[in-house]
Amino acid sequence: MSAIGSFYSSIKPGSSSDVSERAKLSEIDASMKWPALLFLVSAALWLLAGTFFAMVTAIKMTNPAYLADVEWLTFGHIRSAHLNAVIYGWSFNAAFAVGLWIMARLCHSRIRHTAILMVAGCFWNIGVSIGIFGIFAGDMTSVEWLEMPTYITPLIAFAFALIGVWAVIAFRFRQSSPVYVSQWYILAAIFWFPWLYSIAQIMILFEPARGTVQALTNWWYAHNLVGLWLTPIGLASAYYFIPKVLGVPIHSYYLSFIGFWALAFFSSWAGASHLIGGPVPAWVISVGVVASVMMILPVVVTAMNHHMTVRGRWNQVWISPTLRFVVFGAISYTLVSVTGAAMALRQVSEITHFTHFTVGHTHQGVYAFFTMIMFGAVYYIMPRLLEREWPSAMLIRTHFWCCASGITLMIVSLMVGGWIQGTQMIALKPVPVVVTENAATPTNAEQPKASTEQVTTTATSATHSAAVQTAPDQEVKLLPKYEFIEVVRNTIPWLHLRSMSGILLMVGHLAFAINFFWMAVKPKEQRDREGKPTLLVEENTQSVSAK
Amino acid sequence: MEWSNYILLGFLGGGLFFAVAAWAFRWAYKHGQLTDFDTGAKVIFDEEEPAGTAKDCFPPKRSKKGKGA
Repeated sequence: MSAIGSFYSSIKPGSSSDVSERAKLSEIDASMKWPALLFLVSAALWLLAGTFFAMVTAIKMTNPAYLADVEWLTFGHIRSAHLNAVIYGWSFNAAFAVGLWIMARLCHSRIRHTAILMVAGCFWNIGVSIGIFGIFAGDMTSVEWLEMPTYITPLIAFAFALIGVWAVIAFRFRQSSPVYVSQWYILAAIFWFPWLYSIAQIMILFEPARGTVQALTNWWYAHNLVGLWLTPIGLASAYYFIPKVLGVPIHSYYLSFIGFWALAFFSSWAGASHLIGGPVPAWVISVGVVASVMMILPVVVTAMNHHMTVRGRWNQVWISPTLRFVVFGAISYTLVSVTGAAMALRQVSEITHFTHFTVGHTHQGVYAFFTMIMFGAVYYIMPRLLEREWPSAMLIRTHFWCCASGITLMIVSLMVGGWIQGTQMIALKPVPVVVTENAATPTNAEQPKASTEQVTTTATSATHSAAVQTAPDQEVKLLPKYEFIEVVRNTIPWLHLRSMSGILLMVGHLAFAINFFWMAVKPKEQRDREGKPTLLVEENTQSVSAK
Repeated sequence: MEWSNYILLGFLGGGLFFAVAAWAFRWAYKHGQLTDFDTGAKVIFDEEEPAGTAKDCFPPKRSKKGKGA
């Protein structure tokens, strides 16, 4: 018991007589330096790996023969490796670094025993590395967003538990009374992810549920990994960095709370809307549709709050590397959420499901929203961790413009191409068929021309029988207007555009990585010559009007 | 695992989730987190990084000698 007691006192801020309980921001940054750097360096490396996998995947979409004879790099392998590298490698590491750093700062408490956080970081990244290797080696599961083999689950779970506990400890010993909305989001995300991950692992992989329950659990997990893990961390960052950099409080703190609780209540139900048309009870789908549409509430509230905070200060946004990325991400949050709500409607899902539109939507959420906000956060955090300036403004600008234009091109090309793909896949045309006793066969030799207006997905053959001339032994059937291969070919120009957008993103990521590692390894002499970093507040305090 | 066990697991997990959410909401209400919004909004500022100052801009151009401009 005494050991537990001494450990308890060792994690409590101010337990040493020579330090005050309420730590200065510089002390907190110093205490978080090595764990945050470990997570950020890992995140940057995973981002580069994920980008490389994505480029190979994109090329394979238009040139299936590319690297087709290398069994480790077939489309199924490398596409899953890309997804898991950017989600569990890049996104999680960035979320750990940014989330823990914001939590520590808002709690005004130093992070103690950071070696344990470092161990957790090592376990996480070893787990993900083995998982990605397992995907390439053929050990992957068939469950989307959970493709990494199950033997890495204990490593991932143990690492997350340690990281989560450290966030809770920081919150428990916080030295500030009001809890800021970013702390709510981070704390909730820390609890939500283990719930999602454990239920999904048990019900899909370890004790698989029967039938369509697996599909339901899969989409519940995948949707909520974005909705209840990446989204809270992204919004926590936006709620912290926008007012912090501008130097003004958030427009309405009241609205931010409504946004938080609305997200908490509706988001977890929304995943079922991805299974519209599937063999799932209709009421389950309906609940998912209603929850998806209700997600408009927290989205509008958050969008209003961010917009009103930034209004009249756009110049300040433009001169800040952090805010350029964060505000781009915040705007994207509104767009992706409205798109998601629209996609949950049955009439829209009928077209977008099983098309590239969904892929575009996913990139809108994970990249345009979450990743852009994480980039902005890194631009703010790194100078404070290392007490030095970013080496190149030009590389920051290159990073922003390449990523902003690249992801916009990717979303537009996938969504437009996906919409065309969806409409063509369900398009029908009336065809007279010869009725025999056993079967009806199309009379291909005499297919009448039918106008597009006559073809609808809900029309019955009876509706069209009057419009199409038929012989006495014929009746009109609705058959697919396009052959499947024709639809596939029609998507190719859009996939080429997607590959071009990938090149832009890759250039942006390289610019970011060069600046990041250049800053990390910059010689000490050079730093001393340059003086204090201009990104830090002591060096660059510009008065702004506080509303 | 049998269906009944999944239903039990679902109800237990869901019940626990909503119980924690309700407890968190009650805790926030009792500790004044839902009333004093002005103080809450300003908690991100302190004497080191006070309100009213912008805290981020692009780094200066680098001179050829490696010194900041």
